[in-house]
Amino acid sequence: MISAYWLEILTMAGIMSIAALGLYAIKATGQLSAGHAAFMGLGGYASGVVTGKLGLPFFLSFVVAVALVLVVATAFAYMTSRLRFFYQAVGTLAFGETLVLVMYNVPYFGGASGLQPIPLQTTFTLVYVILGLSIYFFIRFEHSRLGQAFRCVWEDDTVAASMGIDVTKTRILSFTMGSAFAALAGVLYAHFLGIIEPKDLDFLRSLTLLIFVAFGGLETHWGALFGTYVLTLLPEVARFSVYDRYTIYGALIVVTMVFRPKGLLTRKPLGAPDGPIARVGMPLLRVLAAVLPVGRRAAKAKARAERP
Amino acid sequence: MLIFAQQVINGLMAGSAYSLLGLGFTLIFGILNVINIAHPEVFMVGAFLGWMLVTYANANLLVAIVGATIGASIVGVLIERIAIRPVRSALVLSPFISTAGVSIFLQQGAARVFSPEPQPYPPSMATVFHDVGGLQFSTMQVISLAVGAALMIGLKLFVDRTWLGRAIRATAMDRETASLMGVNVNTVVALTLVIASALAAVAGVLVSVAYNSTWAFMGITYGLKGMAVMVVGGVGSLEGAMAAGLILGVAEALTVGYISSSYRDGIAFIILTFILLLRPSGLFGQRERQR
Amino acid sequence: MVRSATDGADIVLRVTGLEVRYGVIPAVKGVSFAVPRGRLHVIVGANGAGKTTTLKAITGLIRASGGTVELGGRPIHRLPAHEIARAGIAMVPEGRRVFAKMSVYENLLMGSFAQRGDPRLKQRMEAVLERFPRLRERTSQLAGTLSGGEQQMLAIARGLMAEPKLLLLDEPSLGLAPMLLEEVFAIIKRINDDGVTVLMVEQNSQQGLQVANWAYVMELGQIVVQDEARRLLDSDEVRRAYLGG
Repeated sequence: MISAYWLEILTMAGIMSIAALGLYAIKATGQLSAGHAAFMGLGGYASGVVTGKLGLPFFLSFVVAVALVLVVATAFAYMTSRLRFFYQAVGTLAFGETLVLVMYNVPYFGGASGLQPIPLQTTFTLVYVILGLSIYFFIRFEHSRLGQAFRCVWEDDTVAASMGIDVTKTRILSFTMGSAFAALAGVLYAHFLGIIEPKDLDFLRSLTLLIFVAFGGLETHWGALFGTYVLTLLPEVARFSVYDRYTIYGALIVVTMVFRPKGLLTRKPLGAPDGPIARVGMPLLRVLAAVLPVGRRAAKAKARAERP
Repeated sequence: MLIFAQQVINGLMAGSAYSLLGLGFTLIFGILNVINIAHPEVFMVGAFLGWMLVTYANANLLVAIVGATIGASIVGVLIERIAIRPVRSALVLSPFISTAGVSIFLQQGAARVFSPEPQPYPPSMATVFHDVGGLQFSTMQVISLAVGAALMIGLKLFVDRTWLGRAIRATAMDRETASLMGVNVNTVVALTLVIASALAAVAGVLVSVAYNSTWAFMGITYGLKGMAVMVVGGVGSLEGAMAAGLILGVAEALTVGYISSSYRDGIAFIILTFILLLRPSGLFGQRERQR
Repeated sequence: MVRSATDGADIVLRVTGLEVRYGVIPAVKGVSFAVPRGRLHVIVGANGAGKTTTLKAITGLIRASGGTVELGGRPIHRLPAHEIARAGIAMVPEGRRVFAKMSVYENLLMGSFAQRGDPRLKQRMEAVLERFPRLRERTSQLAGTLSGGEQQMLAIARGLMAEPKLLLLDEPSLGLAPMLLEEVFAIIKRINDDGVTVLMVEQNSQQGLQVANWAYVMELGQIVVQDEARRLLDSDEVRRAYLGG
């Protein structure tokens, strides 16, 4: 039986995975969000108000949080739809930091000390049920028409447009969809810790999520999952002091990006000339896939997803 | 009126640090088309180098600044060689993430080496306040503003009027053609990193002395503001970064003076949001700069 | 008797067995030729024949996978692009590639970057502006605001500012109106008459052959025919087989 400590860490990794999947959905159309944590936090705050402040039932907080984030994300994506790449990153960053500012300064949300108490209703099982459903969603999505449209927009939006795909709409949809997953994660997060604070929304948190996705592999949702688990579990396993641990963490990210600029998992078949990290990373993934509660079917789907 | 004047003065002084960081971001983005997330950590490293020179070697401010500049330049060039050059041609996101890794590495490394708490300067560096007609300002503030202004004017002249400055601009516009003119692009990239890092290091030393605090995580807030300054000024525009930094400094000071200090760190992003929605190319940017 | 381009002449550029690959795909397969001092040679051929790739390999923008390039007897094929430029090769790239946000004057200065500090730059600038009076009227204008023809003039002028041993021109006719075409080729001819050695790549073979002394026809990465430009121009057989007309 795993200890309470590990149960907690695995629960947190599961929550972050859901958020990372959402970020992958945004990235799947070639967009770059440096404010993903803000949408996650927005969901957390909204749900915290529903349960903590208003005393309404937990399931309702999901509905409210996701609905709110859907509206805000759609509006935001619509307003910033002409911003690309770097400018979009800066735009999402500005959105996140502005939201942090709001949370700091509105007393109703608890200011700097955060919104609390929020009832502790997130359980390990709940997180993994939602994560499982999310993964199932992404597996199906990958092969759906919309999933293919996403990839098409990422690869070349001019070609996509010439094929009759509404590029702007697809981008907005992908941003909104990704943010909705962030909202789900935010609800679970707030009800897991019993508190949500302004700093949960800031750029550093968003950057952490981006690192998870980029480290694991930008091209598939498995990369997002893989990166999140490796980078949340690794610091726990490493027996160093906290600063050593994160110094190594930083170095690891640099090394990974240098040798595998698209992250550890890519669509390329194994054995392709991909450098030394692939040869270490792929077996590691196999082991991890066997351990993860995702199971054999997921592993099979993964093999399918990795085919060129 | 006196309060207003006082806040404007305070703002200009703080703003010159934002300008120096924003200039670094814009120079690096201009030549590499990459946003260097680790650039603010060069600012932090510069601050610590200055702090070490003052604390352990009894150096004066000038020596501290020169030493910090040299050390930080080396760090800046190394960052480009290690974390940017190998991933530059990959996806847009890759250099973003690899420099973020460098940033984490340097922050945590500094926290490991110097403790995660802010480090004070020895009393010899204490700031002296002057009072001129009711306006208060410290020696350090005056030095900051003067040094900042001198560096900005110097940079502008260098880039506009010298052979190497032209080579930097040519490389930023078209690497390949610049190399056909006999420009060693690698040297120009290194030179740009040295300039950006030197500006950051000077700002780092001045800020840490002015606020008497040298901190492993000091790069975070300043870095975000520096990025905001680059975009608000117009990516690639030196005048833009200079103006936007000073405007931001004054806006923050006025916010502190007239609204509340708790809004101070958010002003940059409110300005940034408006600029992105209304004029994404920035105050001084050209229209086609949207990439 | 076998005619040759280089009978007893002083060779500026000698390319021997040049090979270039993009990944595993060969683009230039063992090309050899030489350009003597003061001559104007042209490489003609269809799109994708490897003409531009050959020039890029000579200037060091692409690394050759085999063969040698010598400039005045000195091997340069291992040098990086900027050192080849400093050795005396000036390139006028395809699509002009002027520095759009610099003034005409600054663009010209960039042309002589390799000789910065040379006290004779002022005279050289004067001579170049003499040759291109239209640029003189616009020295302070941003290069990006010039017309296509003016930008082509500027690109050539910028190349001359290096006082090169060899001037390379990559598709100077590209995107120019027919009237300008005549003018640009007349200028190239005049530059060559004034003693500058020129190697030009040109898809517009008619125009290219009219001004050149000697011509190479490239096809699928190889030189398939070479002869005096005038003779190629007159040979219906060659024109029909290789030059699409």
